[in-house]
Amino acid sequence: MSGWTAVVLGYAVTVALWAGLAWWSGRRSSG
Amino acid sequence: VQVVRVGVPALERWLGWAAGAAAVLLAVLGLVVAPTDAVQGPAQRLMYVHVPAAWAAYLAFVVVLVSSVAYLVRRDLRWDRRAQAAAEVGVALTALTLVLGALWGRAVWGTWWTWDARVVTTSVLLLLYTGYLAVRGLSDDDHTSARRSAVVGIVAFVDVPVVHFSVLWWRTLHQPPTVLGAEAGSPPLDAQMGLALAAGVLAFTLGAGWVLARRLRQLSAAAQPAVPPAATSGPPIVVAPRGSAR
Repeated sequence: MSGWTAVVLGYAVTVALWAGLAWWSGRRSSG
Repeated sequence: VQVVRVGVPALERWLGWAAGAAAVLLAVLGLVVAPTDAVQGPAQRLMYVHVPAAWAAYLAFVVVLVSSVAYLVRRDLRWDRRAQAAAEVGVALTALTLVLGALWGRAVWGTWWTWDARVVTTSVLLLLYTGYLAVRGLSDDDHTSARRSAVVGIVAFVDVPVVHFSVLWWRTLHQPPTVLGAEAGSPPLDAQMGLALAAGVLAFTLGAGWVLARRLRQLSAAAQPAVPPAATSGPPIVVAPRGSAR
């Protein structure tokens, strides 16, 4: 795997994780 | 139907905007401004997210430790909720650290995984705090659960310094510290690389604080008994405690 591929994947995973944390911490309690 | 709007606390809002701004700065400095590493090539740019993720995870586990001790001393469930929220954020960031490390490792070491001291101790850290979250679900009694998890939250922290110093204690593949605890005589970090790393540390610290604050507000709301609609209008309803009726 090339360096840039690793960088793009790594930054994409990072953005996805933060988006997930933002969504998860903002959920309305269901019960 | 009366809708009660509960505003977002100012600190939480500020943390969110500041984290977002720092993240933009991190992307610009880390992907564009910082020079390409002479030895590792572009893959070294993963440092600007990998190191801050690990740092923010350590910080989250410090919050778990402090909150766990505070719970055992005060027996106040607010401390237990702080420990829980911090452990959840810490677990997510430790997992991210490992994934980013695997990508970086694949690019520069040629392997996704190796039995390196730093990699193994960090994986143990992830298992320990995942176990901590599992222990929280073992009892339905809030205080029993809080007491048990506080003990686990304190014991698990022992691995944090082990992870940090693993690269110095063992002859291993992972590179030694670049900033904190760097050996005397090791080449200094390039100024622009240093700025990108600082932006990353700032973004992840503020981001972790923001998620922690949101999660804490969510957990606190879930812990409050729901206010019945009758309580907001009309005469107050007085309920006599059981056994007091004559």
